[in-house]
Amino acid sequence: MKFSYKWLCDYIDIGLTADELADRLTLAGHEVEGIEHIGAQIKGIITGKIESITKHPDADRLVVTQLFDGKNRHQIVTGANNISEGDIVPISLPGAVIANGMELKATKLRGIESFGMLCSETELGISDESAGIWILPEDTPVGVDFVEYAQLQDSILDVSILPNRGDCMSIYGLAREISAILDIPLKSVETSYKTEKSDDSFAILVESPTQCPFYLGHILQKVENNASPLWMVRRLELMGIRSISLSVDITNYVLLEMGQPFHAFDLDKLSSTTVRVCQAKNDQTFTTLDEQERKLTENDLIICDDTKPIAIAGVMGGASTEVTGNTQNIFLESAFFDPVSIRRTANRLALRTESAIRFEKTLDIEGIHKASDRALHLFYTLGNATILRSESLFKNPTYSLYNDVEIPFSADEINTLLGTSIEEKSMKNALSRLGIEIKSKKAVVPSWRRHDLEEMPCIAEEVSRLVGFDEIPSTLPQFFTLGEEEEVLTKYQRRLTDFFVSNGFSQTNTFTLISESDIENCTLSKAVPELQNPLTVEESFMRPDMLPSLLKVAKHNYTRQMNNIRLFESGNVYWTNGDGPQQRRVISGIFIGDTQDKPYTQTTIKAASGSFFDIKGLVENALSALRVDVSFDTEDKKSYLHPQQQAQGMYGKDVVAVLGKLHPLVAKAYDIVDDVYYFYIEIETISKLFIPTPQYKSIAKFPWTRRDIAFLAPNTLSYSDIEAAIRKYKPKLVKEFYLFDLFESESIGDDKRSLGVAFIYQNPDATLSDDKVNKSHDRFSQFLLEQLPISIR
Amino acid sequence: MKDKLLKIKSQYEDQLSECKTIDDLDALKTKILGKKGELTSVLKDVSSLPVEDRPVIGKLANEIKVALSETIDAKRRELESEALNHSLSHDTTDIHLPSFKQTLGSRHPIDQTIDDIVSIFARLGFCVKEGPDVETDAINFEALNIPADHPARDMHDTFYLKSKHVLRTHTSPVQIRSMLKKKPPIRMLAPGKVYRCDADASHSPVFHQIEGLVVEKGIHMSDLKGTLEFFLKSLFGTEKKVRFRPSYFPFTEPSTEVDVECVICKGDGCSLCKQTGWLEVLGAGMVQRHVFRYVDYDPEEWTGFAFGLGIDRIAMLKYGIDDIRLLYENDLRFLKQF
Repeated sequence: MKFSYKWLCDYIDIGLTADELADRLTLAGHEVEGIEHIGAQIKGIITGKIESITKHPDADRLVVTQLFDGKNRHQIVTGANNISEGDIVPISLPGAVIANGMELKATKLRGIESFGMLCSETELGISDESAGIWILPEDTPVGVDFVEYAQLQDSILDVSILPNRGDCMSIYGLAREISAILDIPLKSVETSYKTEKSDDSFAILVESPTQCPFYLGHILQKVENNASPLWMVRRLELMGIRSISLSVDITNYVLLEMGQPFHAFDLDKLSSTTVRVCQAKNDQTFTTLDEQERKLTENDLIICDDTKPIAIAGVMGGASTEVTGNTQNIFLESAFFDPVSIRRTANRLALRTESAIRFEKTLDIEGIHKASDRALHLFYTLGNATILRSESLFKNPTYSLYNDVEIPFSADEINTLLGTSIEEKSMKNALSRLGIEIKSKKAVVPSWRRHDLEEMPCIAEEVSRLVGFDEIPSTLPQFFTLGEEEEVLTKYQRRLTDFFVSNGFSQTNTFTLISESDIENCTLSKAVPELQNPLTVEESFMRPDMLPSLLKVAKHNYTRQMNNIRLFESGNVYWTNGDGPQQRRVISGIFIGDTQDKPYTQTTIKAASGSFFDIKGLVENALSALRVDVSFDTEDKKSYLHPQQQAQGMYGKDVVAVLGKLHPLVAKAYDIVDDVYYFYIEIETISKLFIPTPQYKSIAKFPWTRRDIAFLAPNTLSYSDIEAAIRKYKPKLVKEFYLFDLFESESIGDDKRSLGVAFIYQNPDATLSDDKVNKSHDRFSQFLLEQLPISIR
Repeated sequence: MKDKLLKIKSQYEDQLSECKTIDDLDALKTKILGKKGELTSVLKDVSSLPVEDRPVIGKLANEIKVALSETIDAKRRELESEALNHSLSHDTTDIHLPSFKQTLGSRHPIDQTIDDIVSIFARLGFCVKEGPDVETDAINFEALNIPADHPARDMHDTFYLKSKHVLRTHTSPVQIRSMLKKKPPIRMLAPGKVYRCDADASHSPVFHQIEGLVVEKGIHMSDLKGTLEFFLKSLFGTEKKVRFRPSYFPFTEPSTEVDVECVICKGDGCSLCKQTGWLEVLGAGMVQRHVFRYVDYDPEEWTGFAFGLGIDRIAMLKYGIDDIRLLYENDLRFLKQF
């Protein structure tokens, strides 16, 4: 919120520059986000009355004016054409400085002497554009220091008011806080006015006394429709509010000054002298003073006369009873509305008015009378209003904020919480500056902080704020906590991150949000959490798979001439089931192009081109790094992968990985025509598996010996079936076997392939004799030939 | 006989030393020590000598045989070594040709920053805890003393799911989940993604925070100050000034915002720090008693402090990244720089 430094000075002799004040506020918890120095250079501007205007003898466009400032007469030549004799205008005499920093000097214009300049609003830094000289109201005194009179110089502090400090959302409120911070007394508020004896008053009928615990109305008659004084117009402008009419300006001015919202109804447009505060009816419509028709609900609090609603309580008044330039009689409302109710209505109607944002932060329920007196004072002094003596009042004394808040006070407890040794005397001093009095070991909270301060730590905070955080020493927690353990998921994630980086993958960081077309393009399930209020359709669903996120990144790079793309990310994927939205962590990767960095020899070029088996090996190694022995099957197929080139990695019955070549149509949807390989590892599932710590087995001391079997097998016989048969029938002495040759050619026939499998024989306890190995191997080969549809080559 | 032996020795030692190839050496060896070699035949003749001369001459002959054999072996090693050196010197490679290698990947700056932060706190016994980013309103807000209709909700532009869940607006809910799971003492960190629906050039709807929580007996606000000073000085440099300002968060009291001396202007004021000389990096405070009550901790028994910081901003400061969107575009030419 913006604060005028000059206005603050109405209530406190600050004794610091605006910049110094900003530092003190910031360090006391009111962060000043910016300071604007208005008219910093301006000086020497006074007001003068134009006594005569005569034509310049040698210039058609210039005139010669004679001005009187109450003491002296000045001759000024000007090109302005909006002036008349008798006008009062701001003038800058030689030596004066205008907004842009220019100093005025006496000069001659086409031979005629000119001592200064008549000023426009632009030249005085008030507006960016102006049509001509600033013609001041007729009652403006002549010869006054116009810089002061028109508030041309000020510093505007942009203070971030914290959500619990609604009491600082006004000039007076912040001045009160500054008074506590700087320990300087607060000045009193001018609230005097005379009243007219009368029995006229309004009946206030409050149907929801918990939502409107206080309602005060005043009748103002014969309010003169004068122009608002310049200082008021200027201050409103500096705080960002446009001047409308005296009555409206006064309510706005006091709202800014005292923090209390008012509503002024045109009394003659009210159909009764009864005001009712009640809930609206569902679907009831109401036209607010911005001429918008609003649809209300039964949760909205409204103000009615006996025939119609006249305002949405605390949010905005109605068009039909709005105060205009012709209004003479006013019913002035100053009330307290329940913060929650106002907040809900203002949010629902998207009407975050100055009034609503104050009500929702909780007003000082005991401060309303003072604020309304301030408004009445201004109506009385500026508008010559007749103010009727009898108040129209409703008060619900059982409302919670009318109760005193008393918090047990113990200097020891506060020092223990803060880790300080502040003397009790200093604490009491700090607290009393804030209006918190200590009475019989209890801190009594002032009315404007009752909603905010409730327990000892709140009091400790106030103490620490006022004595300054520098009073708190720096220590480290004394006892080292045992029993904190890193989560397995975190550990595994770190291990695999290192693994993939070493294997050439760059880590990405993508949004978890994708679009509906991503779901369709990647043929994913639509049972995913959907955003109710997405910013864009591109980010409206939670991803069920990392694929769209990585594909979008791949596309970004691919379409920018990068052909070797290896990306991975550890991230969450989401789905919904009967229990609502679910999520789990996976590590996922994608690759396009070569596995080697710029190969240039025949062998390396050949080895570099990526294939299904690269991605399979990568996933196998990654899982090995976590000591997960994976086996692959093709049970559940992913429709976004190539139907024949995909596999799922199993650990027992758990799916721990999925990998394969991307379906070309999916790749095409992301403008990629090269082969794309994709995998994900169920790292969260794995983190919950029991994986035993490896136990050392003694290393075999005796030499091994190798025997091979080479055979022809039909293509339809999967290597996994061959492996299974070998595993089932292999002699005990075979410690290891592996495929060492695979050969496919026309000479064999395109329905067959030739395979060579090596077997490693080893006896842990003795040296093997050739005889024994041969015998065993021959018998095994024979058996395999019988069990599988294979033939020896 | 003796003369003959000595002559053989001196003659062949000279010849051996002049040998140029292994083949020459082998031929010479046969000539001396072969079955019909000169020395062999002399040795044979020893038996025909008078008995009294035999021991003397025999001994001399043997000595000469040993000496010549050693010379031959030494010469052989010398010639072999020369031959190997010769062949190695011709086996040339242009070692300046590019290597055969797999491209090295890279770690995302956000992840590296998280690691930097986690490892500093690890020295103080903090451990990483994980929590979901799809949260309930209760844990994201109410448990943290932000009831519905509280003005503090304005600080959180919340994404809602159609199921009425929220995308967590801060990492603070992980505090709640950790405390619901176990009794104190607690010292935890929770890095992760958070979501706010107010994206513009300097805000991303998805970004990262790291949360910290300590709950023990007798934790003071001074411990918060010391811990965070230790952290910030470890991260930004021990010479950097750190400033604590009072602030407000519904889930801490007293609350503070922590500034570190601007990394660019070192406190003089520049556009990065909006002329203040300070960069706001942390929000923190003593855990609010209502938060303890929600997780059923007795606030009379336990105290603690919590803090949270934006990782993206730290990463941007550290690596000189001037646009937050670069972090999420994942251009390889960007990623490979880290």
